[in-house]
Amino acid sequence: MSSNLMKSAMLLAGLTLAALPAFAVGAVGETAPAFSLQGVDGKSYSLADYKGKVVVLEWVNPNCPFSDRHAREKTMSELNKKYGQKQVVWLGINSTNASHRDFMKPADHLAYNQKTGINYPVLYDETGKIGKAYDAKTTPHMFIIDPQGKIAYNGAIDDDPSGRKDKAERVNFVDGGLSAELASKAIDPAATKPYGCSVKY
Amino acid sequence: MAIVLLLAAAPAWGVAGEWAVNDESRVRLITPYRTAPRDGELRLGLHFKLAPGWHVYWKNSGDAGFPPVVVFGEAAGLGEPELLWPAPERFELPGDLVAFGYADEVVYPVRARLSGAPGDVLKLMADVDYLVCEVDCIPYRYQLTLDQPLGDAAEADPGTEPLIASWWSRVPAPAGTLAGVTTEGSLTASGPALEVRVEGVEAGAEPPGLFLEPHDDFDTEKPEVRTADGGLVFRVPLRPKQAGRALPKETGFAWTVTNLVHDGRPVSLEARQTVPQRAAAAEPGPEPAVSRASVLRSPILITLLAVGAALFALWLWGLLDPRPSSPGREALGFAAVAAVLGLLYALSRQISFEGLAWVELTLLGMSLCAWLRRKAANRRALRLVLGLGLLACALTAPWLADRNRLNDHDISIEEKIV
Repeated sequence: MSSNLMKSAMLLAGLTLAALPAFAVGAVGETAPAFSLQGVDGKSYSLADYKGKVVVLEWVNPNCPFSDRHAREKTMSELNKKYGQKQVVWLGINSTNASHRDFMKPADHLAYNQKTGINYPVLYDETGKIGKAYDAKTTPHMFIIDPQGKIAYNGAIDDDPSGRKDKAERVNFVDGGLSAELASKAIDPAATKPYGCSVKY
Repeated sequence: MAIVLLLAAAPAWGVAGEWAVNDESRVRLITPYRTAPRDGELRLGLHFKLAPGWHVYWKNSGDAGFPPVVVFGEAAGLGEPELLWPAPERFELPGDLVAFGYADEVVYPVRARLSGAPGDVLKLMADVDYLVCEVDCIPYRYQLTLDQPLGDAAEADPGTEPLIASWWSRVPAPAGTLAGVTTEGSLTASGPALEVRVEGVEAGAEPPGLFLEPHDDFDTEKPEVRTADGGLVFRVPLRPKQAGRALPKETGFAWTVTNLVHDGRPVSLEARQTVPQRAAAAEPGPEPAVSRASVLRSPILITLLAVGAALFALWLWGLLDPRPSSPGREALGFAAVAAVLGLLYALSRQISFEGLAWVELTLLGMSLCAWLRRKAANRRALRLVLGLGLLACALTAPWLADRNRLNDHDISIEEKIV
């Protein structure tokens, strides 16, 4: 590689890196940050593979009581079942740092997913790069990405942080958001305050 | 919720209920009375003691967690109890996350009214959901009870009364109730940011803190505080939850300001105000330090500087000029690229994210044109076209910055300062 080509590549890379913060906030209406991550099943998953579909991202940590409660209550799995036939793709992302005690190895994660009936891929983001690009704060923290690749919802799964309400009494924001998105209506509310454990970056 | 423990503590007689205990915390109900009056205000406390490193939450828990949820059982003569929130602390968590709450010990004061409560004993019951966190978080749920003796007049308990009074004094005073103290908020599109000015107070021994309640439209970043004539000014960068929305002309914010001193006494304040966007005519004269910083608040100027620095870097690296670069020139080139990145960061606070992306694309376009032009050394027509392309990108960048500025009104103020 010639010297000038190297310099140009470095300059381009620098400017490209500078462009990243522009999309690093996870705000509704922004382009969803691209990612390519390995699943706990060993397969590779890229957001680009789901272009034209509605994508739900759920930040997970099986060792977080909130994530675990929703997994055992099948809050997410049942929604995935409800919308999975309607061009909706559900992905879990685990941004737990590999050195944190909450980090779960693939075999254990697969066993957990099977035991709790998680019926969607869960991806590792142990560097936290993608979590921070989306500004994911809690487990669970939910994002809906529209078919154009824009963030359409950012926030909590529902209005019941303590899990005190009966399931039928809860307002499930993601359920409402997906219904609206599939009906080409605006999601309301498009942003809520997520609750749960902090993501273990 | 399997992890939640639903324990019914044995009924307790007196001014403190039984502790509900777990490894991370213990919690009970207390009152300040040996005998509480049958009529009038009834004060209670939700008393937590926490293991070292663990905390419970304020009404805005911060980036994670949730505040305690308390549902009191009905009792004859007891009005609806109101949970109050003492001034919180700020906890920094891994991953640049933040939590607001209380460590070691806290009593959440509870205010209720009794009117004609029958009998000699008021049976109090509270169903409490709370989350206790260190880095990990554990939710708990308990039913707490307390049997409060009643009488015609209040008789204070020397053990619990000072404890409750101490925490009651840490509940922020509503703005406007302290003589000579004023609070005023304003929105500024530069950033954007919320500015809260508190006059008639001084900073306490601990650094003053500003805590905002959740807002529908904005996430908030860490506040900065500075002293100003007669008080303190907090500046809180805001991050819109929805991109592309114009800053509202006014919006409601609720905040608590802690670690203040008023008339020699420690105080904290809370306010819930409709905050207007700062109008040009109302813009206060900048302090000298601010006006110097304002040089970097004009998006067009920042963009021109970035374009200039980028061109300088391209030239130093020999992409505009076929002559080979010396090590010294290359070092300056690195410095110029660093300057471009710094200026783009400054620009990110002045224009929309979409605008910033377009400006960055024009800078990428500049470097691409320069590189292709260097490669097309022997094709004059192509070099001319690429040179024009480079010039077009350089001119487009400030136009894009101007077109995507966050608020014309506010920026015009900054340009006047410049």
